[in-house]
Amino acid sequence: MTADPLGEAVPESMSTVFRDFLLDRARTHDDVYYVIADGSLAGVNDAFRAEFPQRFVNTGIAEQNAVSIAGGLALSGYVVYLWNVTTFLLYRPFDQIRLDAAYANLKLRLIGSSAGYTRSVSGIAHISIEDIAVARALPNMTVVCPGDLTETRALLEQCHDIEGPVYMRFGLERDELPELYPDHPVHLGKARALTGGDRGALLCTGHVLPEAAAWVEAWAADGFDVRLVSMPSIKPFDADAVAALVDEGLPIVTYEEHSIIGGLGSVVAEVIAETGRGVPFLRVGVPDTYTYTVGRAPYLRAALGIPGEEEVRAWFEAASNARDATASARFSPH
Amino acid sequence: MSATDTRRTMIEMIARAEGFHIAPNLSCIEILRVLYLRGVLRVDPSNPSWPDRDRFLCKGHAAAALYVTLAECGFFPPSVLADYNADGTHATPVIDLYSLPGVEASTASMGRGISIGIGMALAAARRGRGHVYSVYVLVGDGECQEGQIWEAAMLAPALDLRNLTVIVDANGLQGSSRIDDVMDMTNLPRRFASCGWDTVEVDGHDEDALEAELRRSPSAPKAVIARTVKGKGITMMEHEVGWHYRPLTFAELRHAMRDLR
Repeated sequence: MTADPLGEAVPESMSTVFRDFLLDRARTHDDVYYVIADGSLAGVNDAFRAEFPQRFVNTGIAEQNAVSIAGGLALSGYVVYLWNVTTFLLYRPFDQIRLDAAYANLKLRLIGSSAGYTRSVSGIAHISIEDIAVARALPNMTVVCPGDLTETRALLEQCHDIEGPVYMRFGLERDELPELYPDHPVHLGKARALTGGDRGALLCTGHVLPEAAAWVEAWAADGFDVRLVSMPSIKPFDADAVAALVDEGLPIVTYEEHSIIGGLGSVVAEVIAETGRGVPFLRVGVPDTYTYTVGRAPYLRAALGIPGEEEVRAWFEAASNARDATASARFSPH
Repeated sequence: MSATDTRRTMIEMIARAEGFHIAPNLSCIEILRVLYLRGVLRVDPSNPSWPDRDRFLCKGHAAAALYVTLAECGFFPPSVLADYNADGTHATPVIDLYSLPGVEASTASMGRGISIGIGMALAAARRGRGHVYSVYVLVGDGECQEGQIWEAAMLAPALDLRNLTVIVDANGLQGSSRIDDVMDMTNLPRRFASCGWDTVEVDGHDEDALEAELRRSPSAPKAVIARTVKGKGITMMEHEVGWHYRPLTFAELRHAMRDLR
């Protein structure tokens, strides 16, 4: 728990953790700058502007201007945090992101919230299912998707000192961030194996982590042990960890609230393919389509037929049973 | 060297490299000469990354003019100009952050220069002891069709960035045609003024007039609309749309050099 500006106790969320981190960094580092292009981030913007008016600029509703200004500040020696809803952060000013953040290889910290379907009731302007694909295709760009409180705190810290640009993908700004598996360390570029299990591996990234953890824990209580691996670091990516799962012959499912094209599912598929071996593999994410109705995330996922807890478990059961049957046939004396 | 000498050096360099963008480089020669050779810019050619230097962000297609001027100013030896447009060198034919000493940003994707300049001017203006350096941004008048130019134009006066000067190389032409044939932009000075810029118009080939305007203390961010001739100095190119993209034939080069005697 933390406190809101009026002193009321509120659960930790992306906005509270980011606010505390940013203010703390600005107090101890005079090279921290914060840029926004309008928008409201649960008190973060007002708190920063009040304490550091000389290191804050609101460009107004002008996303291209915001990114290039951030580039000019970074060329002048600042570490620049730029927050916006992910769609307006990356898509609207993509050429500016490409040139003024990625190509120039500057210390821009692109903080994107409302990713995936977390703000889907506001329609396509706020639905972000292509951002990981877009960001990770950019040379020099670090891409991370923190999934809980532990990952959020650790990755904000670890990304601050990276020499080049960073894209950080978050879910809804005020949603509670649970603290899952706090004893498992978070290292940029490393997978986090959070549970044991030999029936398969569920690899997830970003704000679906709490949901994936609930699935795996429910299955384990039922005697069906699937390994939960959180992959908050998309670039750099822990290819060795995935290759090791392939070596073990574990069926692999990737889970993300992002298109199945270009996100975690694609990264893992590339790694599996390059091992030269195969394992049963399923990408769970948004199929290659937009949605055209009002819909909160559960509605949209169901409408699109995205596999949920039951379907994923059934897939793991079928895949691991087939694997076991093949193995027993191979070693049968008959 | 005179402005004509600068043009001759530049045309030879471009022709040798089979380069193009000739006309848009010819229109801004005097602007660059006043900035660098008359000392409007506080820069140290022997220390291009001096933190307190004035920043200059050049319009993206004027790399040839900028390189020749930087060489004349002493940022690098004139022999470097032989690298222009050659594979494996850094002498890119459009403005690039990683090209040659003295170049500050990659501006060939148009419309971003003023915004980058705002970031740099903010960094200088908010250090608590008055601004430590000034920022000059050169853009084309065709470039002012980009939306981002106006995002930046609306914001700079609100931030009271008096250490920011925009110079528009208003040569009246763009890649495809005369600007007038696409849209009426004759009121460009009024557009900047209405956004709150301290705006003046000047003959962009008159070095004395340019220098006087660039040295004048402004009451707000300054916009200098420099009326220029695209292709200036070479008769067959002046006001001719085609020379935005065309390279020179050998016969045309001889003809051009006669004009620049």
